[in-house]
Amino acid sequence: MGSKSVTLKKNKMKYIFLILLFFLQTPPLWSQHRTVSITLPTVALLDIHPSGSINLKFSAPTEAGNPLVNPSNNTKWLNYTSAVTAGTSRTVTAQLNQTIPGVAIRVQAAAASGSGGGIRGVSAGLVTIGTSPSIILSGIGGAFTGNDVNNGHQLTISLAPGNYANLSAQTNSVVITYTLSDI
Amino acid sequence: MLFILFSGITALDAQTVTVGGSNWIANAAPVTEAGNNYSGTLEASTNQILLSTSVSGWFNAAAVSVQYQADPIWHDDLVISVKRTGNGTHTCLLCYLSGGDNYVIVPKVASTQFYIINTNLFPANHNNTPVQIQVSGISVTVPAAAYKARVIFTISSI
Repeated sequence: MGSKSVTLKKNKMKYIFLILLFFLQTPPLWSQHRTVSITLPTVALLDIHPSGSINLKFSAPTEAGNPLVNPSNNTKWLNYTSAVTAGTSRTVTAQLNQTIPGVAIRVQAAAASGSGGGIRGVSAGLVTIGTSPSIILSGIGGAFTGNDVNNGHQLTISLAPGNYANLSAQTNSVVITYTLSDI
Repeated sequence: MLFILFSGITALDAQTVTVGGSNWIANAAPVTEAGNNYSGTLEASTNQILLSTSVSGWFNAAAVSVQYQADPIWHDDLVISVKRTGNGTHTCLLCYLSGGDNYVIVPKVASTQFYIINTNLFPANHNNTPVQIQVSGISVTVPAAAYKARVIFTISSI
């Protein structure tokens, strides 16, 4: 009985030894890590270049019966930087601080050009703006247009006679406010 | 008996890597001018991570490999790279490190070889091998979010 117990213990020890050997001969492979974190915030920046106001002046027709001649030399450049969360987009709206009776004030954004990248806006075409915000660009995702003139969207601001009955010779100053906003 | 001898020899193949240093929080300078983008690339300090490795002798060589895992989210446009900026200290005779001294892009799917530890008859223990991390592709075109990844270093015999 005593020798059987010793034999069992010996066998047990042998198995433990063999299991240990098995693990020892398995090629060890170690891994450890460190983390890298970066937080990218939402960004909404918009600018107009060049700075300063533009003067728009109707020219009188030289032939009786003809309409007023619309002004030219009326462009600006719209720059923006937009960082959005996944699946969201932004618009650019334009609005006036006041309207001029008998005159339609219009803004047209061209397609983005120059440097820049990402999902830049799609023009709404020629838009007559008023004192409520009107969308001139839509579908802006994560994007940047590049800075200063010849980058971004060229804006053409134009005047058109509305109702001639409301026109009068006068000088007006209006402010156009552009806003980059979430939908 | 042969099994025991074989086991004894292969047991000497043991290699370990310990990752020291600290986690890195990359801070992108904010964009302040409309139309501009982030500068695009950020680098951690040259000793942001300190790797300590141990490889048995017997002319074994071991490779330190690296990969990343999102924790929990990362964006594929954000490219993580690592490079070895020194050797650290070692206690071995005629052992040396090779490779990894230029930036290596860290892949997500499978680990890529970073550098090799070459040994001779004696064990090679390298301590505090400095590693610099770089993240490139930082842009406003990457969706705004908090990103975090684990950079995993693995050592294996080659």
